[in-house]
Amino acid sequence: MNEVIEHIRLLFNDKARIQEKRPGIFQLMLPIFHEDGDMIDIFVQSNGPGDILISDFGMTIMRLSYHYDIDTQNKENILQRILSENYAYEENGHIKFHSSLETIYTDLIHMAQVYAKVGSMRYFKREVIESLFYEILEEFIQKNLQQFNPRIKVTPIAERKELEVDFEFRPNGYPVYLYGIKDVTKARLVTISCLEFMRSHLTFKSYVVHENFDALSKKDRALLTNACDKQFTSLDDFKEHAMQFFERERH
Amino acid sequence: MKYTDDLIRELITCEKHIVDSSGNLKEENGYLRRNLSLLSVDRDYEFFVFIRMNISFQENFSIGLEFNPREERGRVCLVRYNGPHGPNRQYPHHESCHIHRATEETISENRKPDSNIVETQLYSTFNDALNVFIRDINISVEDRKKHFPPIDTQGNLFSI
Repeated sequence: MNEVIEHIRLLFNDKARIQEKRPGIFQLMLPIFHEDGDMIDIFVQSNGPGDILISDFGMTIMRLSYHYDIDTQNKENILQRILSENYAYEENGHIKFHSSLETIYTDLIHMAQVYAKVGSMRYFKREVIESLFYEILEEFIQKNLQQFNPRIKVTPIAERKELEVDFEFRPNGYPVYLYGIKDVTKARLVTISCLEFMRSHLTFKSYVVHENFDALSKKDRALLTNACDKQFTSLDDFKEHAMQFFERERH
Repeated sequence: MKYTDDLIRELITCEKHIVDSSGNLKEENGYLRRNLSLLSVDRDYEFFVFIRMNISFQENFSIGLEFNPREERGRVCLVRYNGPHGPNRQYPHHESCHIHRATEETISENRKPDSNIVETQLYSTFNDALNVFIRDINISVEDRKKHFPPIDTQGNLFSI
């Protein structure tokens, strides 16, 4: 194994520090870091003649578990796909790769990438995916509802900049104001905005698209229902029925 | 929510009750794990604690406190006590126990909140780190005794 370690040291031009953490198991201190500043954990050990095993000794999945658990079959499938597409495999949480003296340099760089990719699964967290809600809503509107003249971020009362509408449509003479709602804070802002527009005697109709209608409390749902004209309980509902409702507004 | 250094300090140090615990450390995927849910004593703030220790290398551990804001989705990692698992970006030539701590700067600049790292000599083992952690994040004395009974024979580390 000493030959391997010296070879790695040479290949990395002495930029890698190598420490024997346990008998026969060496940790490579490569200047490759996670987002939180910790170094990516890479270990090498001999696995028989010509076979060098690269492993993280379970550190990648353990790190991931601070914020994100592989606790469904779908998540497990994604993990296994990342690994198999990168010729790596997992054994009791350890992510491993078999290398050789000839390919050890590129394999170590490759595995650093694999560990980073697995660590990036935390971006699949529900709240991150859900943050795409507004983006998906806008994309749908720009692509499918152009005929109703959508305008983004409109302020119906010029001196009340805080009462901003996500989208304004003009299917007929009066405006239709549309809001996307993905949390209770936005739901309350929309309720206040609609009530203020009414108080200012504006002529308008208000539509709301919920990311998850059931996530709002009963009180918030009641307040919003009393303030706005039409609610789509999900993005899918909006995608399916938006055209039909805007067509009705034309007449 | 605007995360100032004062607010972060308040969130870390406010007295907390444990409202749910996954029990003792359990093995999973090559590491030991335990999770806890906490609530500030005034019930204004919700928190989550994760405890992890690698089985192959027991110096590789992390004990973290996350804030769970009610008005926003997702959690913010406020502080994380790590073992000497290897060098890091701020101390590339050392391997020492270190604490990741969120700051106003890391959050406002959209970096990973806990990417600020400070070396520490407050602890050197997992058990020490756990004791220091539960003291620093101010878990109520009653809950410390109930959920983290002393495990060594050198006296009660939780005594005040």
